[in-house]
Amino acid sequence: MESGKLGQNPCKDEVNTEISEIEEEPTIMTADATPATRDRRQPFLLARLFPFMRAHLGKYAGLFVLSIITALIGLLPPLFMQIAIDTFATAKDLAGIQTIILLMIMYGVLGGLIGFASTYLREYLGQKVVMDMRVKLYSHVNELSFSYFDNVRTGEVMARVMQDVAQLQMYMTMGVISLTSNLVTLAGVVAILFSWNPIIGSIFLIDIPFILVGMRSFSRRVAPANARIRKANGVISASIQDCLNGIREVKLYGREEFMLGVFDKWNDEYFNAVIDSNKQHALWMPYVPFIVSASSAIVMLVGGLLVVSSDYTPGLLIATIAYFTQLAAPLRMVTRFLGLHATAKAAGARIFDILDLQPAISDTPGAVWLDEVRGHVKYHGVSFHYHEGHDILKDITLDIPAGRVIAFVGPSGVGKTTLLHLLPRFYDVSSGEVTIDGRSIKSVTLESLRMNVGIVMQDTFLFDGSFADNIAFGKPYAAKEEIVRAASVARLNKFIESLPQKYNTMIGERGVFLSGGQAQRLALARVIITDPKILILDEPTANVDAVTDKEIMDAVRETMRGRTTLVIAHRLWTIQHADMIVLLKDGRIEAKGTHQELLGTSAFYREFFASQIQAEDGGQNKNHDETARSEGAGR
Amino acid sequence: MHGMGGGHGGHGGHGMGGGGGMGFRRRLQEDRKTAKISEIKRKDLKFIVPHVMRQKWRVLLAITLTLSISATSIVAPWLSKLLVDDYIVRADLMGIVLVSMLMLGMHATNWSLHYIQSRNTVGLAQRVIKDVRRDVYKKILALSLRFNTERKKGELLSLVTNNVAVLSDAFSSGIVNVFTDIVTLVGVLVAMSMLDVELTAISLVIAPLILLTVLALRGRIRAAFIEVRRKIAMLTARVEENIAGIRVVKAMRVEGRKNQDFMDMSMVNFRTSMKATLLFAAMFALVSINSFLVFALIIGFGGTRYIEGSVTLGDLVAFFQYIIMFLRPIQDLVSTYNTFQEAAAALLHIAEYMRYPIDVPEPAPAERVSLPTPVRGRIELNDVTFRYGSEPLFEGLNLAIEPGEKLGVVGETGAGKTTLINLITRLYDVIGGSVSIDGVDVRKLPSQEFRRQFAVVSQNVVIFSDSAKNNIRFGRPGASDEEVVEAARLANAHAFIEQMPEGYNTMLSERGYNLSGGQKQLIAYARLLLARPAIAILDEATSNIDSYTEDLIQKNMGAVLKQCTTIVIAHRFATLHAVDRLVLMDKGRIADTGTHRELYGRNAYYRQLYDTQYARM
Repeated sequence: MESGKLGQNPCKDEVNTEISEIEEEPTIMTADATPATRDRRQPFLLARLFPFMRAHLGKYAGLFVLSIITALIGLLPPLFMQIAIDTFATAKDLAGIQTIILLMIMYGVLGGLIGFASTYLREYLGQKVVMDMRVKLYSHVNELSFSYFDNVRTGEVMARVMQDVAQLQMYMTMGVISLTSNLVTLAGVVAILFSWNPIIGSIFLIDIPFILVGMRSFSRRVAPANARIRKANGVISASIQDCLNGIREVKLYGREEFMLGVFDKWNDEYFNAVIDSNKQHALWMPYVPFIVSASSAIVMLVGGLLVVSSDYTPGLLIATIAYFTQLAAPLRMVTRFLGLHATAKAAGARIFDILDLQPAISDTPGAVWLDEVRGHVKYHGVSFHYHEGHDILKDITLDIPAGRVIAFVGPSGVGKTTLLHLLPRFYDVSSGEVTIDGRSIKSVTLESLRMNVGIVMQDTFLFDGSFADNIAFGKPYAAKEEIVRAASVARLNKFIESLPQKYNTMIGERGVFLSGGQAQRLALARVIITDPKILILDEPTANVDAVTDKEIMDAVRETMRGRTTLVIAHRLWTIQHADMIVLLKDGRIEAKGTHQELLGTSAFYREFFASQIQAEDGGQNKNHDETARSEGAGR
Repeated sequence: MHGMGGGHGGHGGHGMGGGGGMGFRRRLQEDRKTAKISEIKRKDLKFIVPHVMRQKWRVLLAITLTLSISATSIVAPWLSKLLVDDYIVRADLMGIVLVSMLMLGMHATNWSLHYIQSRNTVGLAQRVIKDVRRDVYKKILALSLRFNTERKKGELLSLVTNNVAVLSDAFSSGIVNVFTDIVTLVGVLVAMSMLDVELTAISLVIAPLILLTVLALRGRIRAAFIEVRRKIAMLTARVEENIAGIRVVKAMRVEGRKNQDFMDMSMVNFRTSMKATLLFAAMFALVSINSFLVFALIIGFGGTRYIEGSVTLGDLVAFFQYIIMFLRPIQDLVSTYNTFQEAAAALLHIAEYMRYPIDVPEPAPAERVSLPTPVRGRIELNDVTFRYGSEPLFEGLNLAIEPGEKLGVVGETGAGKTTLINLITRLYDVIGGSVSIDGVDVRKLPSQEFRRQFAVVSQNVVIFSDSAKNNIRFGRPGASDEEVVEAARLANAHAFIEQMPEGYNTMLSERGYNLSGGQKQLIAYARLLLARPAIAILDEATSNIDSYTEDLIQKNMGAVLKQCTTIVIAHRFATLHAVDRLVLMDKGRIADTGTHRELYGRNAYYRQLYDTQYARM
């Protein structure tokens, strides 16, 4: 639903249509430039944009020249008319008329060709610059660290890369160039009219502020209503989407009337906002054509009197009126440029804010390649906080010998995931140090570090593509055998082979065609193929229906073999496979040891696993069941 | 907006050939479905006619205004002719002043008529559209889940938003514009022929050239722009996927390859855009050249005739103005026609949707029964038959759940657990047999009253785009803030809600604020605890919550929902330890029922299910 369209004005004058279509955009966009971003220090937008334009300077110059020629050609037709009427028609010179016609046709063709060339060139430059800028922005975003993405929504980054860049394109091509050509047109008309007659020239000049003021006041007054339209529109769309997503909930809670009530409120608000916006449209849209027609009438009056009383000719009068009908177009572009400038400035500020951002984590100077990893991981007094003064992890010291499986348990939000994310340097420790085989992870290159530390995250994110693409994600040029081997270890080979297109089967957007267990195993295979010495698993069996998907267990077990594994565990099964369990509480290590040891020594651990332990024992031992339940309830 | 909105500022400022260019281009770039206007049948208009009829006075006013506006527009050039021929040439000073003032007055009238017309038509269209939008939304709420599962959500959303918008477009400006265009076109033709038949004939020969040019290129341009849109959409999807999966990209160090991919796609996108631009610029140039041609011919022929003395200077002046008025609607004709085809498609879509039968109907007033109060929550399924497609799922299923009973349902995926819930809550109607609550067949109960007895927490909790507070209040719209907070506390959701930027007033949305799956479920628990239903349904309600937190919630639930009939579906057997009775489902049958120990003791299938989860440790 495009908000601007709903309030469109139905009147349809020649000039009117153009204005309503062009004028609306900048107002809408201006309102998007929130004050917060608009007031950024942003010395010269063009200065910052210049590097992107530099590669195409020649073409820009060409476009500039073409635009000015186009503007000048546009000045000719009324001149032809004047000459035709005053010189040849008065003198009854038929040959002269024919010459004029031939000239006009030539100019028409020439104008069309030049118009074609400049439109093409303009789009070429616009698209090219946008492309360069997008690629640069995109690569830069890819370099940024996790901390950046934690605080930004996907949609926001998308808006920067796609929309904001497009805004700048309009500014850099249409804006700057056509501003020049329109100013040339205006100046040309003023010069011609003044040379013909100063009084009529002045009427033209007086019109300019009238039109500009009208356009500005329209933009200003329609903006609040348009903002309301956009907001109501957004809410209505969201509520419809909510309703579709949540229809089950709505029905189960019998909340149809409640939902309809909310919808009605915004449907009414939308209606009122459109009506308010239309008040301005209805008043101001026919305003510019009115000024043009009214001043034409005045020119008729003054011109008519001049024709009667002086040597002012009818041809001049007719040509003058033709120039007046051209008055609105260049002014419209100038107004539009002002709106465009505001929008572009805001868009530019947002883009350069990102481009100016240094990745929080990058290779330290003199970093070396991490190789021959055995997998001995050590946390030395590690603390970590996202925000100053709120330590998530406090003084964690942990020694994990190569090839061992360590399970991390503790309540949600205790920092288990964060602790493990410090190892591949998704975040840097606030104090302390993490080492692999005795070498600080900060002393090696990020690339080599992350190659040696494989991770399967909590929500398995898969990419649109085939099974083969997804498995080979981290090793693009992997041989077919490697892919199959990785799939076999992840217990996925049989399933994939059963599909008609086998490894070339598309998994759908984010793997929609896969079950939770299959997605999880695919994520495992993706890591297995890179053969990391150190493996991080974030509860590998979390979203899996254990009853139907036991293959995941075998896959995990085999993947862990021969690697140092740090695993976050919610389930007993996972814990059972650990050599050591680390229990975290309040950002510290509460206890560590084997499952049996911890059951004996840690009351918190027992409490933590009470329900699971009881369920586990329930089938085999009734008495124990009762004990565990009372124990759990007693806390 | 995709950045190609170049405008045609550099294009010849002749004042012709440029009219409506932007709108034309914008319309070209939109990928909308079209339909033949003749496809619309009387029945398709049923949903909109009553709303239009309510506005009949506005319709009448619109017609009257259109005629007046066209009349004033057509008279204006005639006045210039009068001015030139009768007064300027004859040097009649008073006449010049008089006619000029008349013209001025005419323009002022035109302005005010336009103002009234705009207010009137937009008011008319928006009133109709508002009612239609409400009807469409109401229909979503009335349709059963079956409709929702059959259709893609995106398709539905677009049905409600886009189609209504397209229709609104046609209503707001389309119809009036076309009407005005036709009236003006006819009026201008008449005026032109009154001035000079020969010149009119010449214009009529040339003008179609413009139309032909537009027609010839239009299809290809449209196709090219649709291709551009497709490429942009692909690029956008790629960026979105990459940003959403950025952590994987970084963990695997494949940024470089992703950048290369992006560059390649951008390049393809660039080339596609330039191809479309080439066509577009060519069409523009041709239209512009054609316009010049018309003008040149009029000057040529008109000039010759003027020299011969068969037309006056005033005739020529008026003629030029008429030609401009004549050419613009012709240029717009194609895109206007297209607007109507799009509107026709939208209308047919909406009409089809509005006709979709409601398969879980409200009881007829004569059959309507109220639940005996207080509601006790006894559920009975009697000889129930059900299937989704052609495969039967339930055949002769019987189950009774006593008031206050805590019932666990176990079974493999596809055994019919969720279907059981769908039938009890009447999201679907049974095909044979009956479902009753406290002895009343659910088909006889008004849905609002009936459903108020339930509260549900499911695996995929839906969060509405509203504040955290209102999301919990969804459970009971009338609840006070204190009650909301209390419910959140009991559901263990209070702590994390408090930590959000604006606490309970933080706006939540499915895509926006990142609630974890577990947090969403805690919100749903709060909803349930606030609703205090007679029947609670927990469908994989703790799948995203750690067992420790789950235990805490269950303790609170136990206290609040003591009287409440509870049905629990869970994969994790640990979740089921507090139920009174288990129902084991297998391929749409109830295979066994009893306590965990009974089932474990006597049922091999149950033992196998249970052991898969625990024995392998």
